[in-house]
Amino acid sequence: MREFYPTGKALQLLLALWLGVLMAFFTLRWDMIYLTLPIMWLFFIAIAFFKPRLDVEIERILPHDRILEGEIIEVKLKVKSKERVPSLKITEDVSEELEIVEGSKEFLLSLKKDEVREVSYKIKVRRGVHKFNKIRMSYQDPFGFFKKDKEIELYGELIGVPLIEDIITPYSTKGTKITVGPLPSPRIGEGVEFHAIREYQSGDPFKIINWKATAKLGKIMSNEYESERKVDIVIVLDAGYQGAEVIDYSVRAAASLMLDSLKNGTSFGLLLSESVPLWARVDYGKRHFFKCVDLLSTAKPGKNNLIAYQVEHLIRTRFPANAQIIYISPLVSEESRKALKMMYHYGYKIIVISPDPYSALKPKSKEEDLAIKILGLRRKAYLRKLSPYALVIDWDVTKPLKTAISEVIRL
Amino acid sequence: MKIGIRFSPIPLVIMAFILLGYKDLLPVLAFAPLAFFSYFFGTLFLIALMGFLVYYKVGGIEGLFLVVLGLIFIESAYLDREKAPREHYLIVTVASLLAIPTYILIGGLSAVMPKFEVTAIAVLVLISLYLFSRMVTSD
Repeated sequence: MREFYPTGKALQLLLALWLGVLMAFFTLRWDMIYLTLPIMWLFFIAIAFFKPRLDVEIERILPHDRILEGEIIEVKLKVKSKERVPSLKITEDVSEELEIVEGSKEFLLSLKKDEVREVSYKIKVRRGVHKFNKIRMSYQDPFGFFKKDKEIELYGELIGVPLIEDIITPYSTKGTKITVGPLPSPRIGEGVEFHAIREYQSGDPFKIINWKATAKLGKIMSNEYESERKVDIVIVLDAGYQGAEVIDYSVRAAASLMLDSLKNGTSFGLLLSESVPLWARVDYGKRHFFKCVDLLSTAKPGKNNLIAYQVEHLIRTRFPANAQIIYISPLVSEESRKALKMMYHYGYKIIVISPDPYSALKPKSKEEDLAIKILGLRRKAYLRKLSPYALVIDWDVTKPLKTAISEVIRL
Repeated sequence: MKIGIRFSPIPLVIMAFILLGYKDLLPVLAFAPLAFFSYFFGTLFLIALMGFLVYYKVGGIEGLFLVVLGLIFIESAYLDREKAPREHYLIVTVASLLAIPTYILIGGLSAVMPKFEVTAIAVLVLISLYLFSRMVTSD
């Protein structure tokens, strides 16, 4: 990066200056070169009085580090100048995944000594981890003759978390119901091992109320015990590239299911099957929930589709026995179907939430429409073939997940 | 191509008013509106203005003042496009107008100096101009 350099404008004016001189000489009126004096003065003033050091401090202010996808947030830049800067251009390093909906990533400022200014722009957050690395500053003298560029490292991170829908987790595991919460259960189970303290929920027996914690926190708190009847949930999310169109929907479904598990006090684990699998062991609680949400936020369609291999490796060592597996996959790849059969053969009860990748596509021509219909039929045939292995929820992503679940559960 | 007009017509109007007294120079105004579109066209206008002034021997304070106005005009058109603060217009105006006292100073010096010294001053200006250009374009 060049330290201090003339702009194209300066060179054009310099050309005019020299042409003025040449004209004076070629017409033998060389004394008239004094006509170039105004241009010389302008250059002289620009060099003598407007050469900067660029002593500027910039701070980036983000409202939160976790933002729900689709939300619009305001990013502020606080600029403090330790010298007079008549014309400062600031270019913010906004990742391409973030859409600027208001304002611009470039700002042109004029600052006095020790002046503090705040500029802002609004962005629409997408799911994922978005990094801000640096800020580019470019000083241009008021005449636009010279430029000085500087880059400062200013790291910032924003996590776009998936949208969460209020849904009820579907179960296909018989006889094992969770002991607490609003889900129906043939018997209210009582464990012996103390597990945690949580907020009182209707249906809790009075004897488990923790009066000490209630007095301390000002709301009714209950003791929670380990129950032998509790069912663990393992969410397996297929992030293969063949279902890239619906990966956002899959992620939202996984996050919604996890929230429901969190509300009910159920333990849950997550296998995010990308090119490198990400495994969050079965656990419960808010901290675990946020850890899983952060993992989901980073989900990207992986190039390698190795879900069957990854499941095979983890099912033997990490998946708890008798867990309820919720498999979220569009089931368009052979690997993903193989993974489902494998989980079945290991004796797990599985519910498949299968976002239809073709429902997310909008055909642009009749031929495309026909092709999508044929592919859709082929997928439906696969789903029918797989129905003995699991309860399959075929989800048209143009409709809410809640509707798709209720249609199947009612059946 | 940005076109924003704020203060740039002021020097142009003054210049047009002065040029009414120099009928030969009036055609140069035909180039002037182009300066609103880009700085490059503005430079062409300034070159044309200097060319006309040299060709028709319109020198002295009047000629210099016309160049000053021409320069302020093309710079103001640039500042208009950039939506620059008002103080930038003032800096451009003052910097350009400094040429007039400089000219008066050179003129005053030449009156009290021997004739050949005027040539020396012209050479001095030329050398300083060369050095100045080197300084401006060096990184």
